Amino acid sequence: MEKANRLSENARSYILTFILLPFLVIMIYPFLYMVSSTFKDQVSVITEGFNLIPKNPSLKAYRIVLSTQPFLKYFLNSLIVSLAVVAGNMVFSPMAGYAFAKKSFPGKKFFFILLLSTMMIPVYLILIPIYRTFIALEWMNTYQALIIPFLAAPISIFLMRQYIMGLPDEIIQAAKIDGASEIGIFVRIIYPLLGPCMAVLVINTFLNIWNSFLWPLLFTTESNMWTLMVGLYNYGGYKQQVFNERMVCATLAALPTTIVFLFFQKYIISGLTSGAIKG
Amino acid sequence: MEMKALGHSSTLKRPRRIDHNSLWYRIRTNKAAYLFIAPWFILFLAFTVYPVIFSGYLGFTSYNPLKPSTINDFVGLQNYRNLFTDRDFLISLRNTLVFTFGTIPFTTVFALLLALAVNRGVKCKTLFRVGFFLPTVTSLAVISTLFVLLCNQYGLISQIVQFFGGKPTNWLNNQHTALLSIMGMSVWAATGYYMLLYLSTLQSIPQELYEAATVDGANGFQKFFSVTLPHLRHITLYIFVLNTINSLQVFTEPQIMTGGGPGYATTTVVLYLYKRAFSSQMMGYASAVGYSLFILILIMALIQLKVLGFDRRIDE
Repeated sequence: MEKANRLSENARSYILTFILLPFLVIMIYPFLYMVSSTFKDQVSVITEGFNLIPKNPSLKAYRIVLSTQPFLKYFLNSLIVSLAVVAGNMVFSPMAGYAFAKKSFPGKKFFFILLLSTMMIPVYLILIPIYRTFIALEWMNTYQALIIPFLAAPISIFLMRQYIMGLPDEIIQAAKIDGASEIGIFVRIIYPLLGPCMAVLVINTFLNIWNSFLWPLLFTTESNMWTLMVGLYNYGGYKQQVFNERMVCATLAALPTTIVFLFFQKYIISGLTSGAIKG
Repeated sequence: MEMKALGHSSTLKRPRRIDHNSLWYRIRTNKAAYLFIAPWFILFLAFTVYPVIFSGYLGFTSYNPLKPSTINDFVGLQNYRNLFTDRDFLISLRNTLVFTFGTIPFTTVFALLLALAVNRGVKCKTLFRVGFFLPTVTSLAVISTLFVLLCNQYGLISQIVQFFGGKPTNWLNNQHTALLSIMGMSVWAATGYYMLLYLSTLQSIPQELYEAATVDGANGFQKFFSVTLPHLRHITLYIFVLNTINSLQVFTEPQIMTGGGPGYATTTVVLYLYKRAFSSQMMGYASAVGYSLFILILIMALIQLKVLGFDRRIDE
């Protein structure tokens, strides 16, 4: 009886897998199609239909894109901006997260509500005044315009707060008795314990900034400051119907995030769901 | 005179005592905490508080950056009144609402069904998770570009439609199909994320509840309706609210795939705002558009919280 049950359990999960397989194909096929399109020529990219394996594969599209567009520069811009924002969040978010988790100070609740409400302020509401400010400060087409506003992201602070709240108070008390300063407690006691949460923060911040589109689109007008996403968008404006080359741009833009995702999917998934499953 | 002297002498005589409960004392002793939140707070003032207030002000002006003096041109509620008669705005509002309410039911139902199926124990769980989640980690700019290819006259979508006996068309260039195509893509791209939210909730339901239900003689359907479904109510509300907030702000997809066209067929409110502010330079008017959308989003979120009756549970 027990054995029969287990067998049917096994059979059921095979049937389920079989039913779900088409959905998996629907999800993955477009990405494979995108990559395969980069090896086709301008005509066959349209006429070859479902084909994942090009009839006459060539690297011509890559050669054209890389020789006519400063894609390496776009890549570098995306990398500089993403890494700088990640670095800032690695410092500032745990600081604020620690204060909200373990300190009790007048106004804490007020500040915390402010923090939560920032997460609900949509980006388009602030674009116009910031555009004006950036022009006045001559921040258009600069790295700081793409970096500084995001250095202490509320979502990262919230993530850190949730994690630090779970650390025992005793370690802080013990450090205080040993005469550690406030900053010493944070730097030497709390910060080294943040490993797993820090991984989630780093990867999710990186993905967010790497993938962002509206902000760099608006604040970079010169091509030497474009990020990959802006380069990708503008390539479409300039060669609208040349799909094999556009897919080269798309593939190059998606490659780093796909690699990061495949290696760190555990952290990404726990980061994206952590806001939701609390409470 | 006497009173004054008395008062004076009494303050002198009283020993200086620190009141450990006074506000000032607690602020001073918590200097470190304020230092820790300072970087966030400064950025918050500069990049949230100031712009939110300033764009509220701009909404009452006819500000045009090409004529700097217009920043003082106070027009009262004129911008907001004009919205009601601005045909292009009303079309983009309609598109946004169609997009939001046309995608959310599909995204939510697909996400739930897929999560339930994956949770029942499929083989190669990791493969499914990676596959469904790949669109979430990929930039919308990339996905939109990819779908421009898939949606062209001879593209993959046309081929599939043709296979089932339909008529191929240039999906994004057609008044009747452009918005639908973008909606279809969004459902495809968003389902994975919400599936994962459902999946993590399903996995947190205590197994004992199912065992208890089995002991009580419940069949599969009864277990689903009396154990699984009640546990999914909280996350479903969260998904509704989150998805509504995100969908009402849709911008990247139409901007890349159609530029809002053909005509205004795929112009959304944020895209309309973007065009008005940065192409037509009508920044005062665009600010009013922004605030109107923000108010709409708040109202929608509040209605959802009220209707579904979870207003208190959300802050737990």
